[in-house]
Amino acid sequence: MNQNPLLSVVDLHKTLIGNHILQGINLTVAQAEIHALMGGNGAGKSTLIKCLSGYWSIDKGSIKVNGAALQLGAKQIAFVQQDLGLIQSLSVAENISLGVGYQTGSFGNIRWREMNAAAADLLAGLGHSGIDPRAEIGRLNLVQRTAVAIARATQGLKVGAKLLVLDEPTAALPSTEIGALFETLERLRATGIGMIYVSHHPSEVFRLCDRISVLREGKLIATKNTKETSEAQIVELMLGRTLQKTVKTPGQKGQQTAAPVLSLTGVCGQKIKDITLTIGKGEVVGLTGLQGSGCTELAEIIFGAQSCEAGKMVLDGQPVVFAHPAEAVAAGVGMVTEDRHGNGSFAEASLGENITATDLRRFFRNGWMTGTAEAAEVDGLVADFKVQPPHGQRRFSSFSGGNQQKAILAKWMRLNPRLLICDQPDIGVDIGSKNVIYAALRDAAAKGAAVIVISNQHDDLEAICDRVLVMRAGRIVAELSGADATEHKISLATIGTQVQVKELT
Amino acid sequence: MCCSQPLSPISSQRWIPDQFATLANLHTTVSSQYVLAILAIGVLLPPIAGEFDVSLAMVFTTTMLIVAKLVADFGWSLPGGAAVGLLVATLLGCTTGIIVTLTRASSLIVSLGMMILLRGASEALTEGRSIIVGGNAGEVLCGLSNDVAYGALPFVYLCAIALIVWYVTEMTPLGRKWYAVGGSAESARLLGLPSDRLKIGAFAAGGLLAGLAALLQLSASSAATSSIGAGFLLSAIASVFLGAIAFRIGTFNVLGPLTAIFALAVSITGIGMLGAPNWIDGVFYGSALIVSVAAVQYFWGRGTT
Repeated sequence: MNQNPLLSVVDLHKTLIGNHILQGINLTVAQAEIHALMGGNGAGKSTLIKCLSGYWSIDKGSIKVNGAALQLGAKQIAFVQQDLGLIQSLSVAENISLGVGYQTGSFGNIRWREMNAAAADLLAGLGHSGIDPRAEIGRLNLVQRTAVAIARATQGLKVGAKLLVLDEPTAALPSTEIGALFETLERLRATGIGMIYVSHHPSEVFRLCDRISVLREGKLIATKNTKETSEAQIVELMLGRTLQKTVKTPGQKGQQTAAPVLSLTGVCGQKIKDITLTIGKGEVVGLTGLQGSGCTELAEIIFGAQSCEAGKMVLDGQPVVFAHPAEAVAAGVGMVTEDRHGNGSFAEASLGENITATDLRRFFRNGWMTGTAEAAEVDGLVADFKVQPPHGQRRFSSFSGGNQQKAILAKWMRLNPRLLICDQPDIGVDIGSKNVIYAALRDAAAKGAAVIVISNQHDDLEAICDRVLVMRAGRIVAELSGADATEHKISLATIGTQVQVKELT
Repeated sequence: MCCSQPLSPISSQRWIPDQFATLANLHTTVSSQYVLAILAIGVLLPPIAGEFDVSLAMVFTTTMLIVAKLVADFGWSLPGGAAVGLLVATLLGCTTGIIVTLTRASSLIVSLGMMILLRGASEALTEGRSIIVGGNAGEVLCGLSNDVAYGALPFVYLCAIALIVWYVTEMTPLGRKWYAVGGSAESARLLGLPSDRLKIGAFAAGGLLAGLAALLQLSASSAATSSIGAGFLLSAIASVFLGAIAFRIGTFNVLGPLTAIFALAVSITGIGMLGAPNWIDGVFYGSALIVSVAAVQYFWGRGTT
């Protein structure tokens, strides 16, 4: 075995737009090691990875792969980006082949059969033989797409690289699918490949990784052997202070006796069937399920973004049918969408403009948009939600994920919604921001709103929800409240009864 | 004085060097751009809401022909003809917008189809001749674009229109909503904004402005032909893009195309007076567009995202 580390980063510095983002990073990754890189949003993880990929040049220090200096285009390191970097309109095999080039026949024609077979082999090797190499990426679910991205990256590894960087590969995966991903990664580790595994979630890291490095404010705070540390210690290192778990406000439960804010009876959509539920004033209700279980569709039907095919919906005692989100918003419903970048924000507008877009009339006085009134409200909300840096006039896309999500929540909170639906408010959000977001949701409930939180983080649901509804294949299959709403029971209900039986025997 | 010279999108008038840089020259250079400027403001509106309407130059032509035909051939009163013209222009913009939002087809293609369709229709309207508005109505028309010293009336119209559009886009919730829809139509919809209606509104407003530009052109030339709008198309679109690099970088805004049109008109006139051949116009305009858009992309686009 080669005693040299696979990767060694020594005293790496990087300054971007006047900010000293990486301040002397030292990091090594050994062969057959899965090395976790953790840190809150803005800690410098992305910048470090962009330095490794050669996207940014480095200001000072050195990066060596297998003892050789990092070279552009040398394919020394393989990457799986957070957004996976797949082309939606191309097939699985075509996407995989993009990495190393297409095999061509004697006339320069692509050898489709060989290409598809090679792709199928590669996927089977990762335990995903069910994916058709001819299928369009757009038709696959997120789990399958992640597998394709990993297959493409590992194919690059065959060419010679022995180091794989995974940037939050579980960000969009339901918790029950994470195990399958980990199996794949462990299989890769057994072949001697070293990995950098970027994640926000201590629980994942402790299941998978050999060592953990924690970044905070551009410095590498510590590197620990997983066996010699604890989740609490790592979280403490990430935050630089002791973590306070979001505390469930006592006295919130049992308020369902008050008139319900929302009740659905027999609601059906394209994939959801016969949904009946009631949410009371001041209640935080969790909604969870595997990929494709219908949580998002249910949220969009309530919000009027998808059409309701059958059933009855009553809001504040009034029967309603929302044909367009505008009607839902007018009735006091807000929705934080799952896809923050795709349909939840205006990347090129300022953070402030994103916040105030929900209601501009209040700044329109005497025939003018009054900038001062708008700025004042934005400043107030930016302070309330602890947005960092606290500059509302900056471009939305320049903020980190957690701060973007705080702003999106702020834009609905300023309307004092009767009903607020949050679809995966924790995706790509660091622990500090997550606590701010969850505290704000509890606060909204305390003021009398009804809140629906869709999430795959079952520990978080346990912490903040009064009640958790579990969906499977378009139906609500379990309702857990009070002492029953624990992470363990939620996870079991999500997977379904067969697994429970398996556990008993 | 009734100005009867045909207006071209980029001034094609030439001066001999000893008349260089007189106020009169500047005035003539600038006054030939009013129609283009108003049309460009119309072309600007759909892009603010995230769509393009390349048919507006033909909407402009069609409006001119309809008004001229109603007044000259059917003996309508000028206000009556103008009202119908503006209505038709608005409806044409509206139609393009409705088709685009209903079908989710590319606005570039839909409006291209509309443009070709209108070109055919306008040839049918004229049967190859030019329609001249004479008599009493013609005099009233000419009066609308009269010069009063150097403060030409068209300048006043342009200022008024630019001011109104600036006010709507920058100072009202409607403008902000248009920009929001242009930023991300789906985000806007999930925010509770009626994305489709806002887009149709932007198309309709673009049509209305093309109609207003048509009235001004008719009053300047007193005659309408089916070929008049073709030359305006590319200049108007180019000025909108060129304008997006000024004032609010990367954003379509009212002051941008106006600056682009007048700055280019003045420089091209200047180059013309130095004795450069005619083809310089196109080469200069095209290079200016490419260089400035590339510069913005290079210095501003990268690094901050």
